[in-house]
Amino acid sequence: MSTEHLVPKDWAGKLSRLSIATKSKLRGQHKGSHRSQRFGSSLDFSDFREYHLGDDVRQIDWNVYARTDKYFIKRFLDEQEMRVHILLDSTKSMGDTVKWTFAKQLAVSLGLLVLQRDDRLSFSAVIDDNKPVFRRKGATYRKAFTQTVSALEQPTMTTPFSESAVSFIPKDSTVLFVITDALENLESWGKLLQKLPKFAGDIRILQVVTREELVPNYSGDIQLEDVETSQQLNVSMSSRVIEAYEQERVLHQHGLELLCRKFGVKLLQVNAEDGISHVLFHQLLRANWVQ
Amino acid sequence: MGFNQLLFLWTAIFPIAVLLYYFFRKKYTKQPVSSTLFWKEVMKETKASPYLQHLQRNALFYLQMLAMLLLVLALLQPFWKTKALAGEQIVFIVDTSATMAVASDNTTLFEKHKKEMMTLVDQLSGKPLTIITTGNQPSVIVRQETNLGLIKEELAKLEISYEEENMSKSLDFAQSFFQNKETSVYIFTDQLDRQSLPLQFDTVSWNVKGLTTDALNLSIKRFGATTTASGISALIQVENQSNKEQQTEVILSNEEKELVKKQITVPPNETITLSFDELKESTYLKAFIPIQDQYTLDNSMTVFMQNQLSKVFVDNSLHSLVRTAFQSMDIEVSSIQAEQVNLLKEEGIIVTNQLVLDDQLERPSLFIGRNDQQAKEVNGEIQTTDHALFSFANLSDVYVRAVYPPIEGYTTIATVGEDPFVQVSERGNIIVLADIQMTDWPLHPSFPLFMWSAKEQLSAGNTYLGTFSPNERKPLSLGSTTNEWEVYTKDDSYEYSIENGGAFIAPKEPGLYVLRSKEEEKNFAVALAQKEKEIVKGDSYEIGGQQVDAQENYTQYSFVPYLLVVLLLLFVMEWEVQRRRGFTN
Repeated sequence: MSTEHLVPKDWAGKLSRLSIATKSKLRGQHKGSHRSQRFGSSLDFSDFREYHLGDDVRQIDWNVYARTDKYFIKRFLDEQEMRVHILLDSTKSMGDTVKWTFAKQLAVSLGLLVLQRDDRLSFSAVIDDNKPVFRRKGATYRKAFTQTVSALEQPTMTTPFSESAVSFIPKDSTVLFVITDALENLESWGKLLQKLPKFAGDIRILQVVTREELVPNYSGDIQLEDVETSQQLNVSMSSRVIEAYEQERVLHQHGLELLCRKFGVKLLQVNAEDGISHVLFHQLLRANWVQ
Repeated sequence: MGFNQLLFLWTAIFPIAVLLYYFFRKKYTKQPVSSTLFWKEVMKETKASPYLQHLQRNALFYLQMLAMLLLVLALLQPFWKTKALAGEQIVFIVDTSATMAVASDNTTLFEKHKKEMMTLVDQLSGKPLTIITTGNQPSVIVRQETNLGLIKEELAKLEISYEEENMSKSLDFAQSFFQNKETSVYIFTDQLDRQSLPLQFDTVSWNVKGLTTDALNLSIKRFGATTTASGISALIQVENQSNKEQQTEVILSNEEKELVKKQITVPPNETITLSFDELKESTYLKAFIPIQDQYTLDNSMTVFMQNQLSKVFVDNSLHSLVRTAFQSMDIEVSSIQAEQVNLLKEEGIIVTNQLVLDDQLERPSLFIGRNDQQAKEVNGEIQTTDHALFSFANLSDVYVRAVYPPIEGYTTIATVGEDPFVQVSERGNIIVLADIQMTDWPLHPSFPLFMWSAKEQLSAGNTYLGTFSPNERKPLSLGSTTNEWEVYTKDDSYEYSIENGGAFIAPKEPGLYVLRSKEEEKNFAVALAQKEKEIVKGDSYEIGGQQVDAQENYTQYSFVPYLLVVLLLLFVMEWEVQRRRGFTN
């Protein structure tokens, strides 16, 4: 799939206004465009401090010494890069065309946001074969990233996302985006969410759903087949069954939200049918995920 | 149960086809979904009641199959066979004679028959029913009636009339209803011989329901009493109609007390005669046998000690038309020699022209003309006063050529011009002051009517009207000015009234009655006919007509309409199920 098809034209230009907003203190080793808590070597002055033995003598402000006859060290703010990891759920349940396209669009958009700020982006799709993880820094790699995501094949993975996700996440990310449909039981999600905070300071789950999942409009006798587990289930649709389904779904959603809150994970449900621009410029902005 | 249109069985293909379709249809359409996570939970809940769930899921199928099967069934036109009376029409001949009051199985035979009729009526199945009751005048209770409610109502109203049976009259009457149709005749009686049935009809089958049990009956066959010089002599005949010797008493009583009581033993099937003499003077005598037999109506009998003046003696010197007039009114008439009129021993009304005998005769008499005077010519119309004698006879058109001179002291009640024509005396004598030959009276219908009125008038002093059979109709000139009479039983309970000179009808139940008007009181008795004192064991049997097919004793009772109602209900249910499930579009 070509780049043009995946995201709208001039998408990168539109995204240039936005950047990832995070309160996470965890930053990368390299210099970047994000102000760090630590003192560093940027041009921005921070404050003065008395010289103590062991400090770099090069940092002594001689002008101050001339006036006060004391040694002061002039300190500058440090600017560091942000390390963002995007984890894309590539289990079969994501295989629905609308859903998959949308998930990829999300990944691309978020990636572009990161790259254009000269931050470090790593991206991994949870797939069976061990493809090298995309890990780049700087706006130069925008195109390369877009291509990487576009080149992703239709998901074929059948092992549950919650089990295999952990091995794909690098350590010490500032922000971890997880794009998934979260269609697994709460128990396994609980286990996963428990482990996630180790990997990043700011974990955000984008739950991609489709309208069909929210409000199924099946009728008659239907054999439902789980695309991931190939489990088959015969259901005679009736308004009563649909109602029960809705109840179950809401229950699941509540459970998931509770779990996320428990482990300090942010969760946002996005509807694939809403379109990428709506989600990015409205939903994410309103949720204060981007700024 | 049977089917009218078995040919339509081929339509069973349709439900079978639907069944097969349901068997081989793709049961579930496949639908890949991202996850069956939620669906599993949903199904877990609903699987709690799998049986109900199954029924719910397949409700439409079951309803459809049921509806189709019922449709096929309806096409086959099923029916129940119900037992029905044979023939195109049914005729009941119900014996209402007194003998039907015989006790049989704790109830009367009549009530038993009534019950049987009610059950038979239920098997009519729409055939017309005619009910005829027996009696002096057989009457039709319902005519070719099919309305069950009405029939039952009329049946419930049936009562014993105590009249004579007259079965042959009823049978003749019933024949007018046959009209060459296949007819089942049911005769409810006590006893009827095969020979008396008109068996010449091919299309008529006869069912006779009789008295099938032996009846014990002791009957007072006859009871008579006459006044003699030494008191009253009475004669009683008691008949034992059973096959066993019976012992009982005979009690004779008058209006005040018991007079005689005598133990009797009656041998089986025999009649014994008892006589009693020198009984006390009484108005009436009652004979009674206190026995608990099955027929109690004939256990008592009453006689009045007064004789009814029923006989007329006509002086043979009168014109023979006078005699004929009485005869035409069914009055017993005897001729007597003119010389013997004053020597007559028998009680009766004397008609003569010998006015000299006026004082010698025992009782008031009718005089027509007088043999002691000469008649004189008259000219004029007859004028009558308001007198009971003329209530039936209108004399205005009668031409009278000559009249005899009137008698002094007599009241004139009719005149010709100025001259008296009919006179009455205080004693009650009636005198017509002309010979019949002097008038054209015999040419008028008023002639016999006047004679009859005169006879009734002359016997009016008598307070005993006579003995009637039950329901007997008899024209009686009771001689009251108001012409309104009320009938009471001897115990003073009101029965009915006779108004405006309506014909006298005797009550139907045997016993003593009193007829009252404002001024007068007359006694009469109602007694059973001699024939109705005999209880004979009968038989129930059937004689089938040749053309009445026994196979037709069943009618078809179709229940297609009920099926259609059920079907309609099913369709409504189906629609509702479909509506709840949601229409697929």
